[in-house]
Amino acid sequence: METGEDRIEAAVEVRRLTKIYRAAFQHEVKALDGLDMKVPRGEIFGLLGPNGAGKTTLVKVLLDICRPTAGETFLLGTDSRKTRSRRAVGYLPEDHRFPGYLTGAAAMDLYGALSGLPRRERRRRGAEALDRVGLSKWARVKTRKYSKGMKQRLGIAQALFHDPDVLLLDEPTDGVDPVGRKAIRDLLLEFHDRGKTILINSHLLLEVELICRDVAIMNHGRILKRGGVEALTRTGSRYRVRVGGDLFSAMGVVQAQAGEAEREGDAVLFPAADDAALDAVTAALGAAGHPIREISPVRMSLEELFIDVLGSPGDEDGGREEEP
Amino acid sequence: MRAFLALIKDSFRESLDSKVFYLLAAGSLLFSIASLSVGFRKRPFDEALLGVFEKTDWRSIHVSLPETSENVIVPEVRSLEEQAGTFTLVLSAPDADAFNARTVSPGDLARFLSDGGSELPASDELMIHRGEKGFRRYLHLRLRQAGFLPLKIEKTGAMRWAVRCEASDPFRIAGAQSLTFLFGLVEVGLGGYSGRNVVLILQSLLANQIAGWAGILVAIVVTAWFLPNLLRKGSIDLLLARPVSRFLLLLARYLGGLSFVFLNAALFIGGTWLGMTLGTGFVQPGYLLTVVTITLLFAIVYSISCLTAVLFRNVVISVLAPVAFWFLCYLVNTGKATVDNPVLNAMVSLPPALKKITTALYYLLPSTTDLGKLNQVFMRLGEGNEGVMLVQQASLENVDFAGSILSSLLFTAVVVGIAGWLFHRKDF
Repeated sequence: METGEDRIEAAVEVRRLTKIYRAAFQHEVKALDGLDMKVPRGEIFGLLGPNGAGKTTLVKVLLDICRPTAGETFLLGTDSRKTRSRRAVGYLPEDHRFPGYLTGAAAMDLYGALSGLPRRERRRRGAEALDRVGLSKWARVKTRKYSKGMKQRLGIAQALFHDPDVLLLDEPTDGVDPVGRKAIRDLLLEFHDRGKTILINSHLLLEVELICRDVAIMNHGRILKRGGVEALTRTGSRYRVRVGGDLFSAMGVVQAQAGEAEREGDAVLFPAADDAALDAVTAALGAAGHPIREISPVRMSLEELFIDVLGSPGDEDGGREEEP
Repeated sequence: MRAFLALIKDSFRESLDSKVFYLLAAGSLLFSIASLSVGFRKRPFDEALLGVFEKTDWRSIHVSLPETSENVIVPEVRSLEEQAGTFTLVLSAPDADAFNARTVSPGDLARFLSDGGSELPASDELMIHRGEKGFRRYLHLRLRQAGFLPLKIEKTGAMRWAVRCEASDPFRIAGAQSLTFLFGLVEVGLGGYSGRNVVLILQSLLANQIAGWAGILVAIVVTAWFLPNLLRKGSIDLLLARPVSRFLLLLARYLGGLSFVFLNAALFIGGTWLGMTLGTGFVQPGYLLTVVTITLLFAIVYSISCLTAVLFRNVVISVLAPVAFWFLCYLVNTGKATVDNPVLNAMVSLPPALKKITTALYYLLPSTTDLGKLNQVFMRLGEGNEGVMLVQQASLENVDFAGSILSSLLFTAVVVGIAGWLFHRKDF
């Protein structure tokens, strides 16, 4: 039995959440299927999945933009159907649209007022936030004149500037150039350093990999895999070593010791079942006059993990759910 | 409250951005200047007094009893003298004892006129004027109606009467002034109308036709964008993610639309009132109250716009639905007046079901036509009926204004409530 205190520990909690979209004369669509999930406070959490996996629906249910068919959701321990649950939440929707008649500053003022900030605070924090995302010179310009990247940065600013405890971001770096992306990443990491929780929905797996410590992969409204990025992407028993001296000679040493050696650029990949086997390879290389310059476990990229979990595009079941 | 005000402010930003507000403000300014250019020029009082007798078609003003219609007399003016501002008009009649006419209440007269004058219904308010005494009473009534006060009619001999009245306020006396436009460049005679009547007609035109009809149509088109824009994918998410209740969002947006119309109506009515007050010198603050009626009328139709916006999120539907609804209200209001018309009921046997349906719809839907009539009441606050045309009075009889306002407010609240409930349940 979970107590209220446990729930307070979680920034986001979802219990047996089901969402079925029903429309007249159309088939029902089950966007979320009995989903259970918890995001602890202070975490940067990545929610991954193909289009239609239910990621956006999940965030919308958390914010009461969509109503659940069944199940419960909590934000910072408060039932998310209650208005007050959104007091300490910032949100950047995918494909957000600012009214074209608002300037950047006016948008900050409007959203700040809706978040309950007094006028003086709105002005101060709004100016600061626009400055942080590099839009201070555009503060008095109507948003209809903004580029896609600028709108995205404004979206980040409006989500952050009332200093929420939880930030829900849907494709936060979509349409932003690499420099802008880096700036947004830095901003999010700084936000996280202050103990805040971030939940990111994204297709840009590299971005997620650079920011998130934990991820969940969703499809058909269910979580298929979940865990720390490092643990999930680790292949387990393969290592990469860079050595001095002749590479082919080193490969021969590794082959002899580990039973298998594969060249990858200027490095050699080899299997090692445990630490003893790994030590044996490094010792053999040292003895053969190949000083070790770098050795690291071989990891798969998040993209490889994503494809591995979801299966190939032809797979009809769209991935297998992880055994509990 | 902070969020509420921010949303109302946002509605204003949107309307200012569309430039329509400036366009409407410029229109109000033009009408105000046009109102300022209206004025009156005094005409000789004796001509106005004589005009009552010369320009009046006595047979059409009073209604002859069928059996005595040939005995109707027309008074003849013998002399007109002025002494220290008091005018004495001497009248004679060929045979006052043969005078046989009747006057009717304004409501009965209006019904009679709308019926084409074929048959006059029986009424407790029917006044029969017979013989010499009746002639005198009828004459008094007729002159008072034309605005001649204070008034005294004395019998000075056989079949002769002296009418004494003072050249008091020409503005209230039919024919005592002429109307000028463009700061006096154009002058038009008023015939049997008093200056006050003309001001009432002009104000009625401005409040009911220009602001209350054309203005509201423009406002429907302008404000129909407010909610569908708010509910667009990408925009609504940014708002719903805030700690603000959905009903408050909708209500604020609705009131934002109302504020936009209230401000424009205030500019238009205030500007034209000021212009007309300065131009004619006639101060009638009651006209300013029509701002409330115009806003209330808009509140009714805009509630339909809000409901359709929540249901369909489509601007075209949000424009067409309130206009169609407004037309339906007009039909029902007119239908109710028609089925209640005693003349019509006496002539034609209406199906009881038609009466029941019309009456039920009348009480179910807002009384938009009555609100237009309420403007007439406002424009005449603190004034008597002297110098006001009988038909104008007639249209205001038997109207339950309190009931109309209450039912309209109730209807609007229910529609906005339903829109709020649907908005609360909707997925975005």
